[in-house]
Amino acid sequence: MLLGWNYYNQQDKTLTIGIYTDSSWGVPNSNEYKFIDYVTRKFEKQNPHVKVRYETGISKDDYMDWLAEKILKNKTPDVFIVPANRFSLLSSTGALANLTYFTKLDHTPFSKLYYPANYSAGKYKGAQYALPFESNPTLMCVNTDLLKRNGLKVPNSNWTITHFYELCRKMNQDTNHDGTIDQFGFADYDWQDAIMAYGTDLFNPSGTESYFNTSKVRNALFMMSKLYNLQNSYNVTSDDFDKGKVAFLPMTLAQYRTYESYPYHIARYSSFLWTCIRMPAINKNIASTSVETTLFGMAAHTKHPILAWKLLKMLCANQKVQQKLFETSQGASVMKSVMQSNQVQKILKAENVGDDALTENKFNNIMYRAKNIPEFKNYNNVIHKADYLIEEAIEKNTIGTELSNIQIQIQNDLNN
Amino acid sequence: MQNKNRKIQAQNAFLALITLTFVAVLFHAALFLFISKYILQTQNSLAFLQAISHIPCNPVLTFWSAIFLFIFLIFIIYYRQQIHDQKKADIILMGELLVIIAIFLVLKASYSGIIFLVFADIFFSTQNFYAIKSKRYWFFFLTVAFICFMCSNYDFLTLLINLPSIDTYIAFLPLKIRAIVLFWRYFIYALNVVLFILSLFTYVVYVTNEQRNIEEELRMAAKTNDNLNSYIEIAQANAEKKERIRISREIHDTLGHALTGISAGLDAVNVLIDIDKDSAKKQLQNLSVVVREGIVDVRNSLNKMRPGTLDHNSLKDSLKQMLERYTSVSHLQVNFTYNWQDADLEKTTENVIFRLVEESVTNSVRHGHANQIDIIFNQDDNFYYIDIQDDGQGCNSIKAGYGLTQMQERLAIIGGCVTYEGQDGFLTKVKFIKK
Repeated sequence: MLLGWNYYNQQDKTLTIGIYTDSSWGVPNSNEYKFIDYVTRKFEKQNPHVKVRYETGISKDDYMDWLAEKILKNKTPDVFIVPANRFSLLSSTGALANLTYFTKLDHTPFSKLYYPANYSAGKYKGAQYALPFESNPTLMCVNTDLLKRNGLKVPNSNWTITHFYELCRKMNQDTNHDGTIDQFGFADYDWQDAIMAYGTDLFNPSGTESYFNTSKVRNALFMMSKLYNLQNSYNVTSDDFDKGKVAFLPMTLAQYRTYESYPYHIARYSSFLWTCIRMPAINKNIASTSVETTLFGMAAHTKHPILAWKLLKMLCANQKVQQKLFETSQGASVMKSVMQSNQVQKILKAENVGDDALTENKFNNIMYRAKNIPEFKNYNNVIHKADYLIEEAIEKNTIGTELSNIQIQIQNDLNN
Repeated sequence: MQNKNRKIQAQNAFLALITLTFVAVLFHAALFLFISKYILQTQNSLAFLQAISHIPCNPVLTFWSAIFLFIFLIFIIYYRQQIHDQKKADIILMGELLVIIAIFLVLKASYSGIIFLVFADIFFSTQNFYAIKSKRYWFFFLTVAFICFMCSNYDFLTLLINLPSIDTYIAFLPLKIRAIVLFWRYFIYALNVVLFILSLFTYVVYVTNEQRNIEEELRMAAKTNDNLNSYIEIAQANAEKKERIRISREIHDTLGHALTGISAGLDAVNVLIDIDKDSAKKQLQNLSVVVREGIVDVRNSLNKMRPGTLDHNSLKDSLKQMLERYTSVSHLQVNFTYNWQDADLEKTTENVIFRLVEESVTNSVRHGHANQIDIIFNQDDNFYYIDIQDDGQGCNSIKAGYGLTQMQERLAIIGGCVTYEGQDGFLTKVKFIKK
């Protein structure tokens, strides 16, 4: 047996990685293969008889088609990236190997390594099917110059949604007195953000039940109506934020990091100072931040499970590799130790031109109260329909009467 | 002859069922293979992955393993029909069922018609028609059938294990081809049901006929048996009558004559004893001769009634001859060990022992239905021993009938005793003293 193991180790083996070229977060990224080349070199150095191969030129949009084809051909890559909203599809169909035994046999304390929301993003029916790789929390960007000009204080991360509403109300002004409002409180803050602020769930994790007609959802939507009515006759967009006319804009970390840095900063946000804080909630204990997590998983039928596990661990649980990822990509590392390291803090500080850098404390504050976007097979269709119905109800101011009807329609869709 | 045709009919129906199932397996394996290729070509992989509940395994592997397993199945069905050992056949049958289940799973539970092959296989392999009547058999069969039938349903099976559904595959075909595929799928299934019923029907007809034939033969045998029994009774009665006549003639010829002579002689002595003492004495001497002659005659008569073989042979050879008579006409096996080499026994003793062994063997065959008897003649310094052990039914309580009582009485004459044990077969232990 030992001889066999020795022989296996001496044989030349090839591991394949499934990965896409561009950013996971839809932001420009010029570092294409820098990171993956770094990892493959490192892995091949540590495992001399192993070659790591990956296909180039797959864009994120084409990735799932490419992967599905590989799965159908029974040529699934040994280790592959799991895009943020595709985990449930890949784990429920059995494409991903169950990692529970690997995580148990390994001495690494994975649950302590990662932020809770990131780690649980790789869980399906209580078992670990993938390790978190990179995450992208939503932040609230604040035009600090604009607030200060209006004599308002920049809120800290423990602010509430009522505070948010008050600030927005005060920001709504006609500054040049031409009869139309030209300064606004918020852009792009939608009803789903409000639901998050109230700390309630719209669906159960498996996507068989919906909870639209509850008092929390009702309150959240009433608050949203109020916010909407502040500026209902104006179509306020992120462009208005760029022009310095809006105080608050929800933005993902990846967008924040991209647009904060050269050259985008010059092009878009050179006219004012800005910072980011946690999304508002009804109280400071509510997990009001939605976070997307990309993961890495192992093919269920891989021929080299141990090597694949090693590679997986290198990608997702190696301090240096994760640090490199933070440097070459725009999301956040899923490892606490990386986000708290001096180097990462230095990078964040260097990127930041605004007031207040995304400090270690602030980031922890956000990530410990973050929640994954729900994900089940039918989620995209159902949330699309709910979005349409609720937007309509908010516009027509009929939330109070329509909500039970919406609940019935959505539940019907879930049942089918 | 007619039933032989029926058997061939049933076998043909079974063969047709196997062939059709093979076609169905081929059809479904090919569906997986070609639809997979089609989906890849039309670049529908992602939509397919979203539609299917579980990722499919390699369709090429599915295709070849289904075909290979089925050929293997045909081979073992053929092999099982060649062997006659029921126990071995049952084990192989279990193997067959496992292979069928494996084919079913390899095809992702897409073809539930394969269940009919399981039923037919179990049914057709039941050669012991009487077993069909036993409750345990039915309980077993119905349980297996029930579980198989439940599990042959894809919707039920997916509650237990994750399998990709063939319907999802078919849904990805263009409408026209989908209709054709669905038509053939249901056509094959329906044909399979019909063939299954047909093969079952022909088999049941064959089995009932076979059973009736066997019953007929048994009735005939019983009748012949009755005839033989009455013939034996008549023969026995005849033999008894002849023997009685012979014995009376023997007594008349020997003892009769002697006793008549003696009684007449004694009358004469009675008269002479007062007249002429010497003549009376002489007469008495004559009478003594007559008595002695009478004794010789009686002994000769008795010798005539002795087993014939003992006249010419030793006890050992006589016993051997007698036992051979049994073994040559029945399947009885007798192991005879004789350790009385230096024994010098009286004729009466030999006689008693011969009759005793004969009686024991007869009892073992008649009452114990024994197949094997071990007879051991042993001795030590003081006693002779005989152990007769059979492997028959034995009996828990021994009722001494005529035969056993007579055996005891006979042994008493030569100073021996006998004990019996009936727990494990029947054991007769005899012991008598050396003179």
